[in-house]
Amino acid sequence: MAAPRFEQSVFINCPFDPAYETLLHAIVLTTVSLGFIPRCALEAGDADYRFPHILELLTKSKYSIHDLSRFTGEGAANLARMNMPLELGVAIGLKLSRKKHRWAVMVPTAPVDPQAGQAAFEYQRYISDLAGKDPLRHEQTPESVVREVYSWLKTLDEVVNPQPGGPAIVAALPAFQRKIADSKDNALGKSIWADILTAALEAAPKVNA
Amino acid sequence: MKPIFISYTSRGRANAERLRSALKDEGIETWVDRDFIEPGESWESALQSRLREASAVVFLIGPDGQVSEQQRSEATVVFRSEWEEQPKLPLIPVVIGNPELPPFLQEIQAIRVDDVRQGWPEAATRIKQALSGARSAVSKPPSSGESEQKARLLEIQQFADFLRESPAKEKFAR
Repeated sequence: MAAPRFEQSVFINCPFDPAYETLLHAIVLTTVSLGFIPRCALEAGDADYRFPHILELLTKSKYSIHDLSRFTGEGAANLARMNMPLELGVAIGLKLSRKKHRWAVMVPTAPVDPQAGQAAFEYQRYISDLAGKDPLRHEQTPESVVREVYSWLKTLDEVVNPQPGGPAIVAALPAFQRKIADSKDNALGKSIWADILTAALEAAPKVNA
Repeated sequence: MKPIFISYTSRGRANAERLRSALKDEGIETWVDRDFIEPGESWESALQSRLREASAVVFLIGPDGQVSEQQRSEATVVFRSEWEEQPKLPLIPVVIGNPELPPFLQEIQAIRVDDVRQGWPEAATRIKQALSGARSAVSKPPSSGESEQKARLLEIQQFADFLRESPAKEKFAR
């Protein structure tokens, strides 16, 4: 097997920082549970985190999910991370160039910075060009991420049919996290994408015959 | 009976109007997107709040079986609402002809319309019957998806094994 099927591949464009890790895992478990293959820059390990590689993954995926959670400035220099909007732009370009591609944007509704107040519709200010296309909105919890990703993936033509229920996926999250922690321990503290996929396969709720 | 939301493609607008008219004759109020979404308003938020007051969602599917982007987005809103609303809002596919339906409608008993000029009163009657009976009346018995899911998970496992065994090859060979 050289590469997963295009129709089954979902490119995940999201933050890879520790604070987002449980949300990334929620996306991965939901994607796998519904029969899709999550693909992201992490699958190449540390060695190839290059934009051309990301572009290749995007073009080889029929679907993509883009989380714009890190839209605020960070650190002493107050810099925002632009990689995620950049990759979203590529996905929109793929769609416009008549290539088969569908994308979804996710944004947080709970404030990223509690001091900053309510963020439910803040995306309308920081990415106003999306007006008319409502993003998936999560509350920065794994459960809400499962809810949003599940509700979107379920409408796609290649979704496994029938599907496990969304609450069953939420219920499987703790076991998935434990499996990831175990595999990380075995890899001397390193997260390996293949191990995350295997953990998701094992934890995914199975459809009963 | 609470109103029904009708989801349709732009090409299916005339048929949506025929169905609305037939449902009105049955005493059932209907909504379509343009009834309640103001220009510039977040339509998903508007739809989500309206769905709380609806008795069902009808997906009107044309003879080609195609679902529009708008209908998929409406389906996403419906599926999201299922996390909050219990019991689930019934989905009713009303299908012109006999095309293959998208997966998210395949597990639901569809109402078929063979005659697009005269078939709407019967479709409206069947919708009313389905909603006045048990909600399960609009659900098909679940089919076995175990083997399909098993096959998909096997493919993912093969890919994980491939990544694990030859990451460099995976990077450069594709």
